Amino acid sequence: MMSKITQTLSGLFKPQRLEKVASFCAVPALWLSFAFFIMGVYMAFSTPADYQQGDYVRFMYIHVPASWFALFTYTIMASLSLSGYAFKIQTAHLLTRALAIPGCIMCILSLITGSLWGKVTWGTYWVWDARLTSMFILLMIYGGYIILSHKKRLEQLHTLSLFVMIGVVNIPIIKYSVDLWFTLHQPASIMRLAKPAIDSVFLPPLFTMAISYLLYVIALTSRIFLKDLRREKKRQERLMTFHKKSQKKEKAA
Amino acid sequence: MTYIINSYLFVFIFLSMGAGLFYKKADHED
Repeated sequence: MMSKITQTLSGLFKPQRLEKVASFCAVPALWLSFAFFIMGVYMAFSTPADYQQGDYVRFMYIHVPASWFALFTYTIMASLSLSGYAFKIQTAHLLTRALAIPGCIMCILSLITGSLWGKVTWGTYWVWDARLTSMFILLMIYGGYIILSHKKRLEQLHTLSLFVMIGVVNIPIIKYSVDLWFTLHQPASIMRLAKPAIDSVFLPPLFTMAISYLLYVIALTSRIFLKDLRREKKRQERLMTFHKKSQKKEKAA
Repeated sequence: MTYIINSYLFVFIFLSMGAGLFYKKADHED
């Protein structure tokens, strides 16, 4: 059973296949992302203002998708780490590292746009309430992982994946913080079991922006993954030649 | 309204800077 899962996963995460996909995505995804961004901005400013928040509702289109992808990217990182750790799949660790940077960018964007929005609606840039604090902890986790994984070898990334897996505890805390505690931040209005609590006129620009951010994450991840994969390949080739040379020396001796 | 437009500009510049950093760096190393 175990070996079957390992086989399927290592087939799925074959370096050659992933390299092909990443080199196909790296550049077009970025251009598409910017095209969707511009389209999203146009749609964001052509929709009507909110009856309560007025024009400030337009902050939603840049803030909400950034938060979604900060959480979504981390969830993917944790599941990749789990499969990489349990089934010893090396490319999963490389992908985890590549995902950390776009995830961190989304997290920073979410915090900055959130505080700008907070200033005009709540009257303050920052409060230490449950949602904001847990999001800040997520940024610390992203930052910690990026610093720790910088210029590390695959074997070290294997151990570091435990850090990512422990950090995933924070994700449900962020998601349900607005329901569990009394917070200044409003509860979920789109990603919930019931019908979205906002009017459908606000949804198209929101989803256009979400597609733009998703493409951005895909583009940056592919680019960083490609770079790491090539570096790792070179390192392993060097190791192989070193190994062969030392074997020859031993034989000669 | 200017406040919102500036925020959108900030997001755009932030994203392009992030992309520029990694794309340029990778090209340089290749």
